[in-house]
Amino acid sequence: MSDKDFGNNDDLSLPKATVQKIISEILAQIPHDGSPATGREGEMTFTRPARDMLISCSLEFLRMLSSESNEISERESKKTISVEHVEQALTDLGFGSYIEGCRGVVGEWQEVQKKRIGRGEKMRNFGGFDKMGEDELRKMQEALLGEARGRMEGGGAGGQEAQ
Amino acid sequence: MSEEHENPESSYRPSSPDLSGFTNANAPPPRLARIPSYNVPDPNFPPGYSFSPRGSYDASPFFSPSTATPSTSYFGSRPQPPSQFSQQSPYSPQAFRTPSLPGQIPVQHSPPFQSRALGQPTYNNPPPPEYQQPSSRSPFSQTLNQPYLPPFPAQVTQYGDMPRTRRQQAAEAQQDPDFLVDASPKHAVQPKAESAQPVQPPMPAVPTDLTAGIDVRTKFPVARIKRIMQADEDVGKVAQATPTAVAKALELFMIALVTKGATEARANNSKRVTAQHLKAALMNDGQFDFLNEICENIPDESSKKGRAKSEAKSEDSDEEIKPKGKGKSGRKRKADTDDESD
Repeated sequence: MSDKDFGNNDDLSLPKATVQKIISEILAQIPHDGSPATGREGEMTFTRPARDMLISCSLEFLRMLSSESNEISERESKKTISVEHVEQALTDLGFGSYIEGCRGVVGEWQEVQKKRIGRGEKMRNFGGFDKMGEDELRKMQEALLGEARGRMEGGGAGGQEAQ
Repeated sequence: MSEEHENPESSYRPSSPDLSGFTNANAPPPRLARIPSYNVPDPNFPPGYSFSPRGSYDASPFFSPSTATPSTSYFGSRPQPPSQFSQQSPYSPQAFRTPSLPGQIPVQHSPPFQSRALGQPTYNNPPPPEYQQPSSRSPFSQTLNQPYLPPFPAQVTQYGDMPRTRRQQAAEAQQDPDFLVDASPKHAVQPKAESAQPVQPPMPAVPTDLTAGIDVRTKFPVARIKRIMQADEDVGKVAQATPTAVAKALELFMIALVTKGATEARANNSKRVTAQHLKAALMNDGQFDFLNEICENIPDESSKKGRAKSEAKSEDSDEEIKPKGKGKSGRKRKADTDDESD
């Protein structure tokens, strides 16, 4: 990796606001034990150094996962890293428990893709005019254009008479 | 070009007899109701045919008052006496010709029709065949008139669909927002079940609560993750679904780290999770060996209260801020680690 690739470090880091949101959501859902030692109940907080360390660990995890997935795709002599390669990489790295979560998200993503395709097809049968041929639709449009021209001509004549 | 030449003619011819029919219907019978006047043009077409020359005269003044609202023009045409009509006749052709000059191609066709209308003897011979064509087309125009009402809301719908298409294109260009919006409600339900397996806290009593409760709705930007993945020169093409899967894996990874850090902090009777707690948790777990280099970067300190903690925090923040300001690469970060170790 050359230095030029990391010229703008902000683009190659995780957004801190997103990380902070995720940390807050996780800490809010961790049950608080009213232990006698602590004596006080409430949400736990994450210090700024700990958050920065968490970001560094996440970036390291991301790079490790990417390089491992890339190696797996190269073994299979494929140029594109697919979800299967990522799942295999997770297994090799010892994070097999994450695979089900990833499959769930990918399933949702595929459903979203199908909806988009469906919308594209619906445009063809727009407004229930799918039964009418293209010629009839063209005639309707030209009739409307003719009517608009008639109104414009009438407007022009009226204007001149007013003068 | 031939189609374009024919189409405007067909579109122009049916419109003019329709307007003349309206005028004939309105002039003789004084009817106040608009609905019956609209229905009248159907039976008046045969009388319109017999009154073809008068129809042309009526059509021309109809255009002139149409500058105002169409309803006003309808009312204006009714009370007009024949004397006023005769007075307006010389003005109407001039007014009609003048707009034809700047008019479009279909407007250019109207002048010859008007000239024929002016020449009565010449007009008498050709009127039956020419008028028969518009008469045959008049029912077609009526059929077109009927769908005129529904097409307007249809057009509105089309206009409404255009931004949808743009949104779809925008969504295709940027998969992140679309995926974020669509997936968030579903993801809210699934993570409760999915997070059960990835989270493996050491305490046996805790797993039930943690797995049931942890539900992260915030998503990482997929484009950013793809960029970070492709920052490695060895990485080539990435499938569209891959950054989504990696984002989910990263979320589960962070849940595990935060949970371990919180557990470690609680073991030390502290409500604030510090970098030291994270370090201790990660060093103890073999699953996170690859993070040892990052952990070594953080100094070890005993849990002291008061100024010692504040000094430690300030030092940690300073150390972490400097490398980010310099914008170094991963290798340089490792080099910095070596330097610090030396």
